[in-house]
Amino acid sequence: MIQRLEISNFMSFKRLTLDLSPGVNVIIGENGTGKTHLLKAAWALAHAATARAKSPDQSTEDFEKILASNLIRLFLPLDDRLGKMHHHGATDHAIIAAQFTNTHRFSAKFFNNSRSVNVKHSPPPPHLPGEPVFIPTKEVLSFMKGFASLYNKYELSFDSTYDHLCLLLDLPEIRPESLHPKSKWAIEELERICCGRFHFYGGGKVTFKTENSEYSANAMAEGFRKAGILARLLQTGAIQPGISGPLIWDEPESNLNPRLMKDLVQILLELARQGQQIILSTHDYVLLKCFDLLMDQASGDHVLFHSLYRGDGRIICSDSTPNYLQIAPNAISATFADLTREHVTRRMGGLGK
Amino acid sequence: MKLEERGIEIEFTDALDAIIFDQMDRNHPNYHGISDMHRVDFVVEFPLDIVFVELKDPANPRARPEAIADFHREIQNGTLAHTLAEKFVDTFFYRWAEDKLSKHVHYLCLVTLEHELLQSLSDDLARRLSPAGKVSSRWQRHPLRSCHIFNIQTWNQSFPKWPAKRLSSTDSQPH
Repeated sequence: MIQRLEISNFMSFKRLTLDLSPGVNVIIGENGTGKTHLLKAAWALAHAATARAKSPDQSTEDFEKILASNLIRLFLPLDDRLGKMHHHGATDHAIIAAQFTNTHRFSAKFFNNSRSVNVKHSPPPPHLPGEPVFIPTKEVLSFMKGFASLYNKYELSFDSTYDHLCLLLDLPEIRPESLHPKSKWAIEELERICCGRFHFYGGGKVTFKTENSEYSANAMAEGFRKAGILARLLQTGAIQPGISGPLIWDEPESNLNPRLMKDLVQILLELARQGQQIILSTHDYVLLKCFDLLMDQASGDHVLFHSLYRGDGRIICSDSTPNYLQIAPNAISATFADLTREHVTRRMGGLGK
Repeated sequence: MKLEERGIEIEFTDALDAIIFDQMDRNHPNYHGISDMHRVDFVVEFPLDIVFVELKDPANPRARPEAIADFHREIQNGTLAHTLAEKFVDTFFYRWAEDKLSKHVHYLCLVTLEHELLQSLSDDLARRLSPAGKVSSRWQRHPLRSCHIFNIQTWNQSFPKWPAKRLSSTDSQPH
């Protein structure tokens, strides 16, 4: 679980500190306020901290080189140069850091001419959480077949979250007795929503099966393919409430019918109740409002809304609140207010002004 | 001209006339007198326009629990837009009978909910007042120039000459 993210002079961020909920974190903000970069930084840090704890004998130099390479594959900076991720014009080092527990902190530092990163971390706790999962905006089931080998061989214009997700989806299913009861429930709910289930043959071949028929995964609606990704990650144990690292999801709403949003939010809230930290970004009012309406503090739900915005000097700032009505600024809400103003301007002329 | 309804006051600073349309106390001016008809709260007249105003205040801390429950029921069963539409139609009918409908008519509702929720309600209301947005080729004029639903915040942003505010309990006067 990530308790706190700290970013300085990295990509579009000058300085940002975000305290995260152990439950659900919903990040909103206009385009260009760094939502995806923030999610990727969270994933990179959780992934690196887990990898470091698993390979304590690996030399620091090797580990730092691998992390630098991973950051480049994740953020795809210009000319594949690490230094291009340094905040333009900054005079101090770029630093990304995560506090996982009160005693476990992991940070990576570099400058605009660095070829590698400098890592600092405290000793990890004995029961380290599993790997984080990143679900990017595009669904992957439609192009999974052969993707991993192509990705390793050629320079594809996909960041490494797609490659990593495809690898997780191709894992075998975990034993039924190891499946968390709520994971099993969530999988059944997702299959109910999709009216069938996606079947993974290995090597990226995916089909969709109903009771009587089997179809190409590409024949299914994109929204269903997204739901299928979540179900598969639960089946393989990549997402195991209370065991796995954070689930990081960039714009879950893309390609999803708004009517499915309520079901999806209920599933995410239930997983969070079982100890799954969730960090997602959204532009969608329905998704945002569903969290507000469906969260139940009596059930232990803890949802934090984080608003990213450009403050003085166009510097990206954040404001966090557990109360939907107190989100400020609320870019999604502001869009609706803009529609009202547009209506009045077009239909009522100068009346009342 | 200031009008107040259920603890919300709107001042129409540039109006020619502004009345409480649903006045059901015969001792007050502009007594409506037909309780069977649906009624908007205010009718406000400007040089070239007439504005019907309806207030719904579920966020009023002093609202009766039964009234709030009724309002939520109307939201849940989807009849709120229907109710608002009925108020417009009956008020239009009544004002026609008064021979006071010679200008463009606008229908503005002020509902104290988040404005994100009001956008779809506005669309629903507009569909009901001119079914499916259709206009007959035989019509010489449209019965409704515009309709929209606001909350206090978006109302004040849209109409600086018609400031709306919630009155404190000591400000509020029965009418």
